[in-house]
Amino acid sequence: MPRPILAAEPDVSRLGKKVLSFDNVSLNYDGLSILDNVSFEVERGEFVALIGPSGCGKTTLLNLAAGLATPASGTVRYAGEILRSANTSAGYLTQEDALLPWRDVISNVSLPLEIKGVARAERVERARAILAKVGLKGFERHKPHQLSGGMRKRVSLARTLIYQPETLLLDEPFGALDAQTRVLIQEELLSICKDLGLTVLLVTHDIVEAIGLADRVVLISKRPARLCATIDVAHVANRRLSRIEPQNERYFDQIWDHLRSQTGGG
Amino acid sequence: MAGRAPGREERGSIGRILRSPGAHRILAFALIIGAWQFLSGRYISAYFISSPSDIATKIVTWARDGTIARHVTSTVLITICGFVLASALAIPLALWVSASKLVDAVLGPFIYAAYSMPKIVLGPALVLWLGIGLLPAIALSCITAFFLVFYNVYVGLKQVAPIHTISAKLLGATPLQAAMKFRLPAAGPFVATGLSQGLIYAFHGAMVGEMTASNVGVGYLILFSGSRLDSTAVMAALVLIGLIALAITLLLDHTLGLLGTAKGAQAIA
Repeated sequence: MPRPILAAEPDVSRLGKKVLSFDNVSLNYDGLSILDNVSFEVERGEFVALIGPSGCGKTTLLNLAAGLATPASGTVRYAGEILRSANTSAGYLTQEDALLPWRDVISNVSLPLEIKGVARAERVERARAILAKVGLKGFERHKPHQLSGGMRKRVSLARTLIYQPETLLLDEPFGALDAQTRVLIQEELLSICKDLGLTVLLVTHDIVEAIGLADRVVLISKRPARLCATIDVAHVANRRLSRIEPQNERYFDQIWDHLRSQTGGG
Repeated sequence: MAGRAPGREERGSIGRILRSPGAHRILAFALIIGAWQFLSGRYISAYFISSPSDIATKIVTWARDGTIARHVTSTVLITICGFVLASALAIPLALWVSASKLVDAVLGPFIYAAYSMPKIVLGPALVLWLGIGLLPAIALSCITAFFLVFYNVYVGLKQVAPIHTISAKLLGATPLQAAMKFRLPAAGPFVATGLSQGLIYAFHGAMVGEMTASNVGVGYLILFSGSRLDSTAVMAALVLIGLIALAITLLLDHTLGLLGTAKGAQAIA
């Protein structure tokens, strides 16, 4: 069934080929070395997944891409320019609920437009449209606490997409959802990303998610994080996000062995 | 049918009214006032306790000659000005201090030291700077209320989940937008508590200011009456002060009730 394309697509022409590049990035925190000479790039339209053991610094990499942190050495570039402040061109979705509990769904979703100064009527119209696209038509007046976890995630996604970012930064966004809801949302996300040609950097623990959604999987070591390997999975289609299909089992094993080697022995 | 003696049901409902808490309150009040009136002049000198009838007469006199109008209006004006000024200063300062670790570390101790100062001792200094009248009383009311508003809002802002400040940054919000759309609403109950405590203490500060540095207001009135050894006037002024305090409390209860805020929210007093 063909997916409807959202009202207006983001303008990706200025991005060039490399959207995000990490160049020998190192970062310390409280005397601990978190990232050690990490270098990799994300190209326009690519979906890259970062996988590594817990606490390895994956979220730090994402924060660098979002402009929320600066490296101790090396550079982080977005669209060719060094990031000096918060990256407002990228949408950021975390596991935590970023919805404002005192606002209803529609005013949560239209918040980015409100900040930009868009007129009320247009805000509401665009919010309604995007809510319909994520399957939440009719829930505009609900408060977040009245919705299930999956529905709140959809609202968060709608809020992230409404201002048409070129890039998405995802930090284990679906970790808190039950398995079924997770798979459904993953499918929708993938569909939307492909429709809009979004560039995506996803941090995850979930190997099936990584193989199923990403074009490329980047393996990170335990802290201090280094790049260990990159696996190209674009050519194999794992269309079912609920499990690993036979042709992809070896990738699963490769990633799993890597994770196990990084977690064992502290 | 008309003119029947009360049946069982009507007697029951009259009984219910008589047994209600409201009826008991009226009865208790009447007993206390009655005892007071009886004791005054007979067993306890009127100089010490005055009497309800004298106090009531005094209040009516004051109502007629404009005393109440003049002093109550002044007190209300001082309280409101002190409160509004305090909030206008405290909320932006709390936003600033809670947002920056550096500012917090530098200014924090000074604010805390100022908070620890007994406010009443500022009276003479304020008279020096602002003369005698409304201004020093407003200043004292403002200073007293300031810390209540500041600390409650500050604590509330510090407990806002970091995800909200991060979201504000990533969505390109200006500091003002971040404060109005994310941070202050997230600190809602604390802001409400801060403002209500602020109003209450603005009133207390107004009383201190009126008694040390003013020539109008119910605080001044009570001081003036006391200095003339007029116990009836002192009691009457106390009644007025009590009524204003009660009005403030009821107003706050009603407003907070409308906002649906928990009255038991963490308070700093």
